[in-house]
This record gives sequence, structure tokens and C-alpha cells, in this order.
Amino acid sequence: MLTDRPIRYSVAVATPRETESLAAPISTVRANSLVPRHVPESGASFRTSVVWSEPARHDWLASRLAAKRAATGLLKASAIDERDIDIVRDGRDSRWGTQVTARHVAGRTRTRQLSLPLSLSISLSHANGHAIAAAAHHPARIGVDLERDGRIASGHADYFLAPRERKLQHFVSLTALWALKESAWKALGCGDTTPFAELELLFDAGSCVRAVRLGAMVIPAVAELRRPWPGWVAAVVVLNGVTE
Amino acid sequence: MTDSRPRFVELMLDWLNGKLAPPGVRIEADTPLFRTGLIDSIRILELIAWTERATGRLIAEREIQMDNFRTVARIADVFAGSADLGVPQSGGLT
Repeated sequence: MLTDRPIRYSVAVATPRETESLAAPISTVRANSLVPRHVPESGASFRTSVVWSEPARHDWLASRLAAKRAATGLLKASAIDERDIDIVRDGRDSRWGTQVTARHVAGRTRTRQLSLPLSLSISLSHANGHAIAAAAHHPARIGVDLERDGRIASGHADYFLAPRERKLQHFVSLTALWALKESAWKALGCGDTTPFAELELLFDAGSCVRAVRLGAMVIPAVAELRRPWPGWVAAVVVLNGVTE
Repeated sequence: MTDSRPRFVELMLDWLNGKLAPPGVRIEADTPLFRTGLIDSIRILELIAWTERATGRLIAEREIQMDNFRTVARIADVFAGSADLGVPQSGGLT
């Protein structure tokens, strides 16, 4: 509903049903496998970076599966097989978790593999075993967010919407607006010390996102809302040519 | 109010552990709330609303940033230190 698509990008999803058969239960997973770590004992205090629960494992798997599909979809013309795309961790941010990038596995032996970096911007989001991922070629930057709809009380709109954005509540749900802003946040790579009010979506007369404002900087953007499953809303925001 | 911070922390932890913590997880004052996905980022809106009710003041736009809500201790440092807390003596602020 929001914009046309002048920038080429790819979006893909994955569901819990697809990940159920992808890996053994967590208790049998080896320490050096792709699926890490352990479940906390009941009532144990949460400690950063050591907790891995069964739901989290499914989220992780679903998000990687979606990311592979999004990257493959974008690279369709190059005929790279989905099995030859590695989604690898590229850092971590406190707001939206692990950052990933994609590599093309160009060759394998029994003990080694040769991977070449792919110049892609990849973003992923997951919840309750469902995942969505989006990919775009650099220098475009992409952000995606997946939310259960109806999660935001009307009285909370002022916490994250600028006055001009609040007018969109008549056309777009608050959760969808949150997802759009979260996606823009991811695409821009904003830090945790950036006030929410610093980032504003700029809409045209047809309620289409045309740009994102960050402080005094205005960046052209395209955006899209999707409903991948009943009760869910997903947003994609693509910025073209943002430099560090 | 010199003892407002400990009371704020205690009540916020009660509320978080009762309402937002996943099964089997106990949130403490220094537990990162968002970094590991313990709580969805969208839940920050509920933390903001709870904090406003507890402190009896509106949080300024410039203060609404993830960093100010990264742990309960951080929230207390930023918002409860000098506040004349309106938190009830018992029960939560749900």
C-alpha cells in the first residue's frame, strides 16, 4: 500500500512448520554446531549470551532460512543455489539482535570451504517461530520488522510517533507504524542512544513513505507493509545510497 | 525522596517478572532487557508507560531511547533517582 518499488529488493518468510525438521532437539545439539548453547534451569537468572531455549532456536532457524531465501531471490539472475549461500553473524546490536551478512560458498572439500562475501544488505526479524528477511544490493540498506498486530495501546502512540506521523493512525495501525519505524531504524543502523523522536517517516499525500528523516538528514526511501500471516504485520524499508 | 530508587526497582522487577518475563527466566536489576531478545523492543512502550505512572511525570522525548531502558537499574538511575515516586506501597502498576 505504501510505495512503488524503484529499488530492487527481495523479501522471504519462514514458518515454524518448516523448521521443525531442520535440526535435532536442543539437548542433542553439539557445542560446535550451528545451533548453540543451553536452556537455563527453571527459575535461574537470565545471563547474557548463554541462554538458548527451544523457541529461540526455532526463531533462529526460521530467520536464517528466510534470509537464505531472500538472498537467493535477489541473486536469482546469478543462479547461485540456496544451499551455497551462508548467512553469517556480522555483529550484534542491543536493539535488534544479531546482524548478519551473506557469503557464497564457492567450493567445498571434506574439511574446508571457500566462501566469498556477497555485497548484500540483509535484515531479519522473528517471533514465535515465524521469521521474515529482506535483502538488497549495497549501497542500498534494508530493514525489516515482524510484529503481531494490535500490540500497541492507543495511549502509547506519542512515545514513538512524531506529530506528523500520528495523522497516519487513521490509515495504518499503530503496530504497522512501529514496524515501519523499526525497519527504518534497522536500515539506518541507529544506535541505542538515538532518541525515537530523532527518526521520522516522511509520507506523501497518498500516505506512501518517500523518505526518512534522521535529525537534519533526509534520506529517500521506499517502504512496504505486508501481512505474511493472519494477525501479523511486517514492514520493509529500503534506503538507497546511504553512506557511513 | 532518598529511598525511592530501591522501591522503584523492586516494584518494576515484580511487574516485569509477573508480566513480561518468559517462563523460567527471572529478571534482575542488571539483566539486559532487549539485547538478547529477552523482551521484544516493542515492549519498551509499556516500560515507558509504567515508568511515567510510577514517577508521576511525563518522560521527555529526548529521554525516550533504548539506552535509557536497557536494564531496570538503568531505568531507575535515569528516571527514579530524584523522582517523588507515586508508586503504591503494594501491588503493581499494571
